[in-house]
Parts: sequence; C-alpha cells; structure tokens
Amino acid sequence: MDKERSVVWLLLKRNIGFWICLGIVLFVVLLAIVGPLFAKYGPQETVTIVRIVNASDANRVAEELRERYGLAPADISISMYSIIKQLSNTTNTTELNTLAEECKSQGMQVKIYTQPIPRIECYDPSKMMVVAYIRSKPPSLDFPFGVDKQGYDVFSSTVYGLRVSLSVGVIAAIVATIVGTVLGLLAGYMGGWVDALIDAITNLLIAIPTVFLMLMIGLFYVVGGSAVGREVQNMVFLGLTVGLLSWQWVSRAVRAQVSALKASDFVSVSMLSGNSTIKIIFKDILPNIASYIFLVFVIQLANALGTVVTLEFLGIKAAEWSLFARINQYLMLGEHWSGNWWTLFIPGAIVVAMIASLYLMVLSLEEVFNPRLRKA
Amino acid sequence: MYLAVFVVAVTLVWLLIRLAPGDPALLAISRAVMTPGTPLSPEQVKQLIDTYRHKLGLDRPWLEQYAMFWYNLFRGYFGVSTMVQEDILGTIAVRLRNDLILLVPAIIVSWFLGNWIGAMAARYKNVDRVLIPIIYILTSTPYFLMGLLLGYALGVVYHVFTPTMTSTDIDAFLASPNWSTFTRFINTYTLPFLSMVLVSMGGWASGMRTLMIYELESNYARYMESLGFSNRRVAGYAFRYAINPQITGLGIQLGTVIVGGIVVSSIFNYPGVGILLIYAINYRDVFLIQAIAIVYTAMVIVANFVVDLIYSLLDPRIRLGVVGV
Amino acid sequence: MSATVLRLKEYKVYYKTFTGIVRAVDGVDLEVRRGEVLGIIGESGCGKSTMVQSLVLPKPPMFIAGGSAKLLGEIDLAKIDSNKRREVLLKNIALIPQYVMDALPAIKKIKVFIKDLAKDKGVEYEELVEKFVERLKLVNLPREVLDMYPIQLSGGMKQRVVISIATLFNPDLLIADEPTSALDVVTQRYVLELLRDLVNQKIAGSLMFITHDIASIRQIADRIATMYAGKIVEVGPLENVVSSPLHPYTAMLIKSVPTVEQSYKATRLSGLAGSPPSLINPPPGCRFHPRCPYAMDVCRREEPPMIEVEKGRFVACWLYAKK
Ligand SMILES: Nc1ncnc2c1ncn2[C@@H]1O[C@H](COP(=O)(O)OP(=O)(O)O)[C@@H](O)[C@H]1O
Ligand code: SF4
Ligand SMILES: [Mg+2]
Repeated sequence: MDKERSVVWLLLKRNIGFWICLGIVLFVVLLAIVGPLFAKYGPQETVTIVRIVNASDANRVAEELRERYGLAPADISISMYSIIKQLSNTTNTTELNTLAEECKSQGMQVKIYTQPIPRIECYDPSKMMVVAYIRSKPPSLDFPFGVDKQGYDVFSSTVYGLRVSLSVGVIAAIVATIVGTVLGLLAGYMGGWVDALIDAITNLLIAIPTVFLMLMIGLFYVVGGSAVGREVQNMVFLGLTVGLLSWQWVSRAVRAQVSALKASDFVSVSMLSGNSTIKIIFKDILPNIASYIFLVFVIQLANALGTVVTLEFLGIKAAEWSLFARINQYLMLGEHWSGNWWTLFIPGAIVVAMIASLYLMVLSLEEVFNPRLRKA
Repeated sequence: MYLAVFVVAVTLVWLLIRLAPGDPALLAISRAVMTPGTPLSPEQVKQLIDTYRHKLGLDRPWLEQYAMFWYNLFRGYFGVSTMVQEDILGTIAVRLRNDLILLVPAIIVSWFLGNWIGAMAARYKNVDRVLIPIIYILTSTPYFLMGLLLGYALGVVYHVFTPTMTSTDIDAFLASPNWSTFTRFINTYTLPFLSMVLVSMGGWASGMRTLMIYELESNYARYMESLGFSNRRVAGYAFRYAINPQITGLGIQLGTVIVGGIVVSSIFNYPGVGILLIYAINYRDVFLIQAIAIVYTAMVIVANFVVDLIYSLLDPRIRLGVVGV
Repeated sequence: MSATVLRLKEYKVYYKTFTGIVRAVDGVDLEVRRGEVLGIIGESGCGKSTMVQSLVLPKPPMFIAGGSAKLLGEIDLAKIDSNKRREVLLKNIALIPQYVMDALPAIKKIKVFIKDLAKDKGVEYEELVEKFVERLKLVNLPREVLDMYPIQLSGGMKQRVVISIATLFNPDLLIADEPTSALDVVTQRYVLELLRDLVNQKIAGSLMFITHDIASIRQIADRIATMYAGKIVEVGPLENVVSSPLHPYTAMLIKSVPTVEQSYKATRLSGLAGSPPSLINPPPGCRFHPRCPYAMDVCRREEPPMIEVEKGRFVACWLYAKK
C-alpha cells in the first residue's frame, strides 16, 4: 500500500500537465476569493470619474481626462458643483441642517426650501464638477480586463461574478457527490429492494433531460422577482437544485465500486467477524473509495460549472452580477454582436480554462491511480 | 419503460409548476399587468386572475387538474401563453423542425468526427499529446461561449458568415432548394452548426480516446497481436468494441446537446425553439416553458428508445441474450 | 530440418516499472527440440508467462534485456523488428495464451475472425477456412462453430477453438500457457491428450507446455524444466526428474502434490513454505536460498552454475557443483 502510494506520488511529480492544471485551478479559485480585494469597483458600480475642480481649471481637467482615457466628447460632462438633497418626509429636518452646516464650512452657498418638500441646494460658484463616463475600453494598465459597454470594469465584474458562479458550482458539486455517494453506498451495500428503488430513480434521472427541470426550478424559486439582496440565498438554492439533479452518475459509479468491494475477501472477512454495517462502511469501504470519490467530485465540479454558466446565460442567475448574467441582458436586447470581445472572452477564457483544467487533472490522476492506463 | 419515464418526467414538470411559490395565473398575467399605459386597479387585477384561474382550471381539486392536464396534453393543448398568442404546439412544431435541421446533422457529424479523432489520439502517442488539450478545451467550452466566439470571429470581425439568421433563410431554401437559396442558407447556417459540432465533438473524442486505450490493452487485442494481426486490424476491432458505449452515450448526451442547440440557436437568432425559450424564461411565460420542456422530454425519450434499439442490434451479447460476459 | 526448434541463451526479459526494473526472466538457457513436449513448471509469478509472451509480443512495459532466442537456428526473436516477427507468428511459433476465456473478440463471429486472419496473413480465405474446419474436426468441434460468437462457446470449446487457430499453419513451436487451469477436470484431461496428439501427428513441430501443476505435466511432457524466480534451475527427462528430483525446489514442488486420487483443483502450490522473492531485488547467490532447507554459505554469496549431472540432466545448485 505504501509502496503503491510512493509510485503514485512519483508518477504525479513527473506529470507536468497535472501541475499546470492544478496551478490554473488554484489561480482561478484564488481570483474568486481574494480578487474582490483588488477590485476597484463594486459588482454593480460603473466606472465614472468625478473631479471637483476650480471653475477656471474645468476645461483643462476635462481635456486631460479625455486624452488620458481617450474619451468621446459626449462621455464627459462639466457641470456646476452642487449638492442637492431632498427629504422624503417632512417631519425630520435635522438632517438638512447638518448638511447645511457642512456645506457652509466648505464655503458653499446654501439654499433651504421647506415647501412643498424640505430640500437643500448647496452651490459653489468657484468650483465645477467634471464627470467622465468610461465605457467600451479595451484592456489597459488602468483596466486590466477592459471596461464594458455599460461602463462596468470587467476585472471587477469578473472577480465578483466568479465568486458567485464558482460558489454555486461548488455547492452543486458537493451536493451531487454526497447524495450520489450515499445512495450508491446504500444501493451497492444493501442490494435487494433498496438497490432496485435507487436504480430506478437513477435511471429516471439519466433518461430525462434534467436541465429542463433545473430551468423550471431555478426560474420559479430564484428569479421570481429581482435577485437583488437575495444573492446568498439564491446561490445556495441554485447550487442545491443543480446538485440534486446531477448525482445520478456518481451514484451509479459508487454503486459499482461498492458492490465490487463487497464481494472482495477482506470485506467478507469483516462481515463474518461480526462487524456492524456502519463499521464496515466507514472502516472498510469508504477509505477504499475515498480517492475515487475525490475524482468524482472534481468531475462534478467541472460539470456543475458548465451547467451554472449556461443557466446564467439563459437568465437563471443567482445574482445580477453573476459571471454571464450581463450576456443574457445583451442577448435579450439583441445587442450581443455589438459588444466588446474582452467583455465576454476574458471571463469566458477563465471559465473554460478552469473547467478544462479540472477534467485534465482527473485524466492525469486516473492515469496515475489506474495501472492499466499508465504508459511506460 | 420509456412510457413510464415519460409519464414521470411530465408529472414532475407539472408538479413543479403547481408547487412553485407564485401563482401560475399571476405569473401568466404579470406581463399584462406590468404593461405601461394600462394601469389596472387591484380589483381589476383580482378579477383578471380569477378569470385566468378558472380558464386554466386552477380552482379545481388537484387530482382533477392533473387529469385535465393529461387530457389537454392528448388534445395538444398546452395552456395559455402570453408570448405566443396562437396555438403553442403549432408554433413549437415549426421551430422544432428547424431545430432538427440544426441538431441532427450536427450530432451526426460531431459523433463521427469525434470518434475518429479520439481513436487517432488513442492509437498514436504523438498525435495524442497535441490532441488531448484541444479535445478537452473544446468539450469544456459551454455552447454559448463557443457560439459567441465563433460568431464574433467569423461573423463580426471577419465577415465570412452572417451571424444572424431569419426564418426566411430556412423557409426559402426548403420551399425551393436551388443554388442561391442554398448559399443564403449555408451563409447563416454554418456558424450555429459549427458551434454545435466543435463542442460536442470534443466530448465524443475524449470519451472515445479513453475507451480505445482500454480496449487496446485488453486481452483480445493482445491475443490478436500475438497471432500476427496487423495493427490496423487490431485497432479496427478495438474501435468496434469502443463504439458501443458511444452509441449508448448518444442517447444519454442528447439532453445536453439539445440545451446546447437552444443556446446556440438563440445566439444566432436561428429560428428554433431557443430564442422562444429564453424569452419565455425572462418573461416568466410558464406555460410556454412547460410546453417546450414536455415536447423536448418526449423527443429525448423517443431518441433514447431508438438508440437502444440500434445498440441491441449491433451487440451480439445483447441480441443473443447473453448476460454477464 | 534442424533438431532444435528454439534455443534460448542468456535470455533476459524485464519490465520497466516505476518502482524499478522487474527482472522477470533473468538469464535463461533452454532448448526445445523437434517432436518433443517440454514442460515448464514453477510457482505463479516466477516468470513463465513473461518468458513465452516475450517471444511473440514483447510489448512495453516488457522489454527483452539481453541474450538470444533463436528460432530454427536462424531467426533471433530477441532482435527482430515487429514486422518480421509478425511474419513468423502463427506460421513458425504460435501461442495459446493463459487468458483463453477472453482471448477471442466477443463481438465477431468466429468465421469473421478467421476471414480477417486470412487477409492479414495474405492467404486465401476459402483455403484457410477449410483448414480451420479440419482442425475443428480434430478437436471434436462441429463446423457450425464458424457461425457462432465466442460468447456462445463454453470454456472448453473456446480453448479448443484457440488451439485450432494456433495450429492452422502447422507451427514449428506451439506454446501453451497454463491451458488447463481454467477448465474442469474432464476437459483438462481431454485437452492434454489433444495437445500431445498434435505433436505426435506432427501438426505442431514441438510443444512448450507451461503449468504450475505437476500432475498435468506428468501426463504430457517428455522433458521438464523447473523455473524459479526468473531462472531455470533444473532440466531433465520427465521420468528421471519426477522420480528423483535433483534441485531442492523441484523436490519441494513434487512433494507438495497430493496423490493422484485427489482432485486436480487442490494442486495449487500453496503447500510450499515461504513465498517467491521479489524480482526487483532478487536475493544474491542462489535465489532459492531463503527457502532452501540445505542452504549453505556459498549459496548466499554466489550463484550456482548450471551443470550437467548425468546425460541430459542439468541442475543449478551448489549441492551438485564443486566449488
Ligand atoms: N505488466 C507487468 N508489469 C510489471 N511487472 C509484471 C507485469 N506482468 C508481470 N509482471 C511481473 O513479472 C513476474 C512474472 O510474472 P509472470 O510471467 O506472469 O509469471 P507466471 O506466468 O510464472 O505466473 C511477476 O513477478 C509479475 O509481478
Ligand atoms: S544452491 Fe544452495 S540454496 Fe540454492 S537450492 Fe542449492 S542448496 Fe539450496
Ligand atoms: Mg502465467
């Protein structure tokens, strides 16, 4: 056993492809976890540059911004610097007063209206506000992944989106692996009617196109209204939905492994020596299929990611800023051909690299674990 | 067996709609209510909902509703859609025909190409090194990404093909197949077709590669080699063995391929069910989605049946009723 | 026609594995003569299959590490390329593999298999199929087998079909690797008689018969060679070796056999004390010394040479060699 382990390790060490793939996977996961720390913009925030300058400098600053970011004149606006605030109810006016104090301390002119609704307007005639809207910019030093048509920073959207989509995928893969393993164990170990029942359900799930069920469930539960503010809930729910509808292959594979093990000598010995079922499952069977289940999990993760991003494209998304949710919006508007390549293909490349790396990792691990596939 | 699967699947779809939070009637009329310019009073809304509920039979007991549902299914009545005013089934049928025009050739071409490529990879180590990453990247690409990528590259940047199709492109070709309608058809058909083929080809190739490696290591292959059979012949036998699971896979993969078809056709505005479904999802057109899901489920199950039939004809082990060999 | 069909000299076959080189066949000298049945006996894992597999299909991770294997005195099987080897396969040397049960491709009718064989061997199908039917008759199988799939055949029938195929071209050397171990007792005896007959009728020039079961070797062999841990340790005429084995290992093998009345199934060599050594790091000196009751100092240090004790009786053991 130890010898086998050292062989596996030796083989793995030599498999450069495996390490490249592992590197890619870790990088993408890292991007999803710590990426948002480096994101300059929030998931729903567009790239808008606001400068408050002396009135005399306004044109110069505008020109500077225009040149710096290569903006069209329409993307820059110069307006008077003002703060306008309106209250929604008429009772509490202290808020207005504090604001008024603040404005005055900055040397602004303040006008307060009490009718019809309390309102405050602060002006500073010596200052101007220059606003630059940055849209459709290819990757550059300022925006490593570019800026999309609506003015979202693609790096920020990607890392936040990745966080959502990856979480859903991981939840789905965990659910599918656990459910599949438990059912496969039960079916393979218990046999009899338990096996028959589980087999029937498994076959059913294999025979019907489950994506439609995912679509319908996702549709009703997740996006019954706006997704805003329910992201975590939605993520868990979508993950559960996808996971509960894709365990069928796990169960079938685990079942096969377990029945093979059950027939093997050492499990029979364990059974004969009067060990309890629970003990046999946890002591004799699970440790023997642990590495196999790990491989299954990795495959499930790859599959789930593919499903999740496709659902996003179809409009079933956990958050408004899910990785490919905006593609769906473009598609609905019929504008998907007028977009910018970086908007789609940078996140696309990341997802494809992730999924492909997961598959290839399993491929090399299988080659290592399975002597039949080892090539000298 | 197949009938049972169909009944269960359709029942699941039906149940999902009933169990969903949110009243199907409410969902069905939500668009009408949201339409600007026609502000409805709460009473009017309530009345509208009740009318719908009654029309859809939602005010009756569940069992009766379930029976009604099957009865309607047999009549080909699929409920009320807010998007498709006419007969839902008729609309789906035409689009389904178009989908089949896309899917059937795509499935056939990708299956044959993929199996061939996979077998090549398994046989020749040098080819394998190059092919493995390509195969796996292709199969890892979601259909919509492949569609957008190809459309963007070949349609928008280099104007080789047209990335948007109209239903007249197909209809004209079907009505009078001649050179000019054909070129017009191909001009728009190629991109969705290619997107479908590339992605699913990757899947078949990766499967075939693994299967073939196993077969070439098996005892009969070893035996044939030790009898002095040519490498070609041994590979031919191994291929014949390895193709069996790939035939079964055809039925199993169909669901995924169909979703791929929906996605791809919506991207290229291909007049299939795809774009209809996406609008239905985004506008929450429940009964339309239900109808599409049912029609496609039926299609997949029928296809599985056919595939099983072909399979049992091809494999003597099944045809002869020998089990466990 | 030369009297020697196959001569192995210092023949070495290793496996390249990740834990090291497995020296499965490590310097074997052996001769198979025309018209004889040479039995090779040894515990499972001692390298018997490796030795014969390497002659027909030295496929990675297996590789021929040295020595020569001259077929008919001219063709060195240790050196020829795969195309040349393909030409001698079946025509000069034919293997009945250990895994007969799943050797025939299950998805093709026997007829189709023969047809493809004819194509690849460059002979007429009609001729070959007639020859095959003739062979089938010899092994007591009807012509109808042609139209069957291998899965419709019983284990014994498969064995006989494989024998028929192996003898299609009257090979100079027929090799049977544990041909009886998967069969029931009655069929076992029948197959042994059949194989003997093939040599007697000169359909096969000679037979190399491999087994771990001394009882079956007694029924068929003219000469017997004992193999231990990748080496041949004793060679001699059957009767002499069985009645008075020279090598302690051969003696152990013969003693471990139950009397003839007992079931053949029970003849596993489990009665032997100890287990065969690692073939990655074989013990120095005589490889049998850790299990040998007569082991001496010299046995642990130096490898015993193969010496001819009497005419035709060879043994590699320090008990007989003068040092
Ligand atoms: N493919 C292989 N790779 C590595 N070692 C092998 C392989 N096949 C056999 N061996 C080793 O070679 C030795 C001899 O095996 P084998 O020739 O099958 O023995 P026998 O036929 O006498 O039972 C054994 O120790 C076995 O472990
Ligand atoms: S050489 Fe020594 S150890 Fe080897 S068999 Fe002879 S006596 Fe035993
Ligand atoms: Mg053997």
